[in-house]
Amino acid sequence: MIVSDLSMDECTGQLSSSGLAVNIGPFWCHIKSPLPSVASHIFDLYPDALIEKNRTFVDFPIEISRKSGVRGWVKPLAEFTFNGNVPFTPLSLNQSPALTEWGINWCVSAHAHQYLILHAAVIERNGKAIIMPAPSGSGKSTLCTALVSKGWRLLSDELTLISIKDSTLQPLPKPMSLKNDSIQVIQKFWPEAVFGHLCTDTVKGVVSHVKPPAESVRSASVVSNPAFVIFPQYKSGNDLQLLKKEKAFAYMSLVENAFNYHLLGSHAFHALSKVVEQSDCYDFVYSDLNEAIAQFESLVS
Amino acid sequence: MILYDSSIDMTAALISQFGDMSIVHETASDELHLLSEPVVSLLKQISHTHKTRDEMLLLISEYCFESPPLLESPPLLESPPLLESSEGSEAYLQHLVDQGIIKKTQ
Repeated sequence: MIVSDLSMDECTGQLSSSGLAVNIGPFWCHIKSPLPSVASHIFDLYPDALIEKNRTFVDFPIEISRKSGVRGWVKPLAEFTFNGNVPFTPLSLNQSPALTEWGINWCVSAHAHQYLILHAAVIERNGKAIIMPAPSGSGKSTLCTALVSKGWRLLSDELTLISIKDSTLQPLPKPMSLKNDSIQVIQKFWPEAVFGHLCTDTVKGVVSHVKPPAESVRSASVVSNPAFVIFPQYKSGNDLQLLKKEKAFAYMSLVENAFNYHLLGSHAFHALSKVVEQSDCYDFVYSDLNEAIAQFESLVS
Repeated sequence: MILYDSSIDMTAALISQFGDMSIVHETASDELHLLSEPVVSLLKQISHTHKTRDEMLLLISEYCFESPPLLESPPLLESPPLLESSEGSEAYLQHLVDQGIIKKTQ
């Protein structure tokens, strides 16, 4: 059964009563929320995700609810709860969908240590995965979403999960997060894209999420092999640049983007060494999405 | 007497070589080092051995300077290439000590 097998009312009712177990990549999240904005977020952006109403074991039991107390009536706040604990400061009620996504990302990055986890997008075409590590604001998610709009398989727009056993890449196809100007850029570039609620005044500015393609969600159990590590940077007005990056330097940059390298120690060393050994590494500067996509296409053709 | 040793325990370190550069992962501390291949070879030679200054200079000239000038130059009375090489090795030894890659012991 998948989310779209439910009606909107059924989805809302299930989330607000006993909750709903939703499959996201290799994980099961038990999501509970009485908030209509969270229900419509799940209904609109997770239509292809497997669900179970009475699943016994889940990886991440979470709840997103309105914070109780007098202050909550002055400024309504949404609170994220994981396994009964509140790991974050509550956010404005308007930001509940973004809080849900950030909360799930936190669950994965803070607990899934069977993977080496990088802050990086991963997309794949022709069996060749490209890892794109980059800090916030570098245009990583915009480029990732644009590539996905052209038929690339989405593994993740935010978290790269590297198996510490064999260095394969585990898909985590969640909605893609866009911020500020990139929202309009993608609306224009990919008019058919399904956008979620527009969350304003977040710490990252205006945030919205884009539904991942059904095919990417359906193939979430199919791991991929890294072929390229590309460090993208959007620079307005710049010519396209694809510069070979020394693998040793790429390795160190990947460590800087890792959530749990030092926690995993030698396991992380071996996993990342294998990824870098089998990948060509580049620094990439772009200002035009079509040019950037053409460059990526030529790499994997 | 001052002796020299590797600050990194190379007998236990994990090493991945990428071209002429290596990533060295110290297993005890999980510290990472990005080192050139000649330096890695040097550190492997001196790890846990406590070398004298002269031994260190010899090893540095052997491992860290690809083409020893003496071998490529015709013999000269004053041997300036040897002088340059020796000065280069001393400067390089000091550099490695300053970087914390090689430590002095008593």
